[in-house]
Amino acid sequence: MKFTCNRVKLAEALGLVNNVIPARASKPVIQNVQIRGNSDSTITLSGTDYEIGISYNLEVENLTDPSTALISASSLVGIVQEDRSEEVTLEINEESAKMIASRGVFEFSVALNEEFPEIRSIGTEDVIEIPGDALTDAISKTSFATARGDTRYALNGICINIQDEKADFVASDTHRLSLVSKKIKNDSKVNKQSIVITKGMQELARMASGEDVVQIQLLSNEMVAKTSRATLISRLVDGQFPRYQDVIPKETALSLTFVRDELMHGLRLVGKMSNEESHSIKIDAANDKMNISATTGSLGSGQQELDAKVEGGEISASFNFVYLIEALKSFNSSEMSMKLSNNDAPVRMDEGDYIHVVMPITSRR
Amino acid sequence: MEKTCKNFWSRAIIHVDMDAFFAAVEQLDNPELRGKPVIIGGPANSRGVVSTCSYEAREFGVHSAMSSAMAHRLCPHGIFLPGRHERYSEVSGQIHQIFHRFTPSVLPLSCDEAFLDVTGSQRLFGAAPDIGLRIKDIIKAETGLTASVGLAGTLFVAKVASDMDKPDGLTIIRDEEVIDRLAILPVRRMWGVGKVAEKKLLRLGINTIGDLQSWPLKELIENFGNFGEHMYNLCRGIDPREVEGEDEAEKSISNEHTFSRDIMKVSELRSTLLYLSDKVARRARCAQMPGRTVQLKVKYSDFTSITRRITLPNPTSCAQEIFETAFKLLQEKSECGSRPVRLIGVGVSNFSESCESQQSLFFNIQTRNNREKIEKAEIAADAIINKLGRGTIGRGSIMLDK
Repeated sequence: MKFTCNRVKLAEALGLVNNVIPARASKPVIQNVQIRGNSDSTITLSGTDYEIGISYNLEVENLTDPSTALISASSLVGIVQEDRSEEVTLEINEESAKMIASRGVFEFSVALNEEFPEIRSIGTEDVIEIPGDALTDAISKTSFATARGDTRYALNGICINIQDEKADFVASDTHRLSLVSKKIKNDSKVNKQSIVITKGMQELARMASGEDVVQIQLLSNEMVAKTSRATLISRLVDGQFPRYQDVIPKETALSLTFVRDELMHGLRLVGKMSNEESHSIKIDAANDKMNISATTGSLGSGQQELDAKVEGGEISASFNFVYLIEALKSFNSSEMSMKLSNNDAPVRMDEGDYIHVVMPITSRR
Repeated sequence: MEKTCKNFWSRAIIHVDMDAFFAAVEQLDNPELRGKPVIIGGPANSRGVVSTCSYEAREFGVHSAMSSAMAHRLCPHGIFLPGRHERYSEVSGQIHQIFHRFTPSVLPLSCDEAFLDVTGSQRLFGAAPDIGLRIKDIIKAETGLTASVGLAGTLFVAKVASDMDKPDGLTIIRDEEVIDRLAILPVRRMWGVGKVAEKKLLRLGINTIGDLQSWPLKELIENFGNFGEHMYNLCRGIDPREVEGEDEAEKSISNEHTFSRDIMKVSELRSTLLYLSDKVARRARCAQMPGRTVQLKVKYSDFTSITRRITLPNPTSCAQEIFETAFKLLQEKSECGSRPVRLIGVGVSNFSESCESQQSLFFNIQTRNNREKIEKAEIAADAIINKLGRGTIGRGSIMLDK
């Protein structure tokens, strides 16, 4: 097999696929990227770590003798990304793959074409469609709130809940929760809830960005997603996602409105004086002022005063400042509000189709 | 009493042990109980056990860990009480504050026992025996309770000493007396000698610590490995451990169990783990030291051992949570079930200095309520166990497995 292609495009494609290829694996075959020549003058690059698999179609020129080969991903990707040629030509036979660049030649050994896991292509049944940027937005606002390595496995992923023309994307590590609801095209009337591992969703976000439409199919044990160029499969998390609808506060008597950047800055400052275990800071708000403070026995204390609009009564509650900063970062408006029903209650923040909830820190008896 | 005693001890370690602590608190709070046989533990007609009993009850032969039914037979007019854990904790806190007036080096063993290193306190507070007396007096004056105090050069000997003249005693064992005073004690009084080791020692004809003192190091090592060396030193009163400051000292609260035979079945390990988790949680609650890290220790039949740990989002002293975490480690991070196990242990560490707790969304409503319920049940059980002894109250699942 021989073909020529634009180096930047090849580097992009390899970069995307390489994100899932493990540097070390118990089955060394998956440390390779698979290159397959197709009859329509494209090649397909595939990689997997058995949890997530990505295949990417790339247009090439002068493709002859299409075949399939496995090349060690780490060396190929590094060289294609580092090289400066406009175009590169690959010549692949059973023993080796030769890459001819404008000023150099690299020869890679080729792994035997053994049992490389196939990246299944998307089916036709039960497929929903969502605009790529909406999907990326939903994933970026939820993935940071997923649990990591929690024993409640269902929380180690993003839950996709499809109902009618709407999909909820939800994540929670129990201390906070992100919920984004997006409009979707659901011609086959899918009504389903699945939890996809966080990394699978993060890769999907990268792939979906800028795409007009992404197709998603939720199977019993995996998700298949397709963009114009790439297909991704990801393992699902077993288990039942908690009933998130029940924990989103509906009645919120108290409200605190502030400038988002100012609060983030204040939190970063005062957070430095917080307990390094709990990261606890206290927010007190009344009379159009809010005070952020932290006191730690061994460190000292700090406080910062900000302008704010306080409605419904005085506010006095403690939070993990890291959770607040991560939450505030996920919003766009310059002015926003925290709403809560009382001072021990969860805090709700809203923006369009996005709701974020953070639980407070309370003192132990 | 010796006035200058600095020379008698390499270090001056005091062990304070409250006398019949829980029963004494009950008698203190309720004058009608004074002078009467008070038995704390399971009800007289139950299958429960005695946790603690007053000295009046002891005269009838009642002692801790005895079944309540037996206690009732020995002492039919005994007053059986379930115990009030929170109150004991409160008094315990008061007593620990007294300790800290004399030295920062306090190592609490449980709510009614602690070691104090008063070596450096003598210049300020007088000779160690005087400090021992003053601690007893202050405890008596401020809480109305009596304590027995042992004073020696090492932790082990101090603990042995406090037990020699109970109640309300003060026993001093000088360094040069250690060998003779230990010699008459049965081997099970040695730290680290549990049922399994005791059996083996008795089989070898070693009944007293004195018998042990006559064994050469080489032979003890041949028979017991490293533990032989530990015993060789300990039976001579050599105990290198120190009383560190409280925050330093109690780096973890743990309990372990050596099986009399090697165990393959996970179900058997599971019930032992549950039992150990109960013990650890109880100690953590008693000391008011919930920890965020739960660790599991497994020693296989070939004596290789592993320790595995997990850090939880919030500190815990809940037996159920400690058990679930440790059991998960056992299933996922050990070879239990496929490799014979000789010993398992569980512990909590990484004690939280802050008294704050991050709230949870989902587990507030169900699990959290549940956890609180479980913890309340455990605290209630603490009281029973503290009074009646272990075995009075237990978990259904442990019984089932046995």
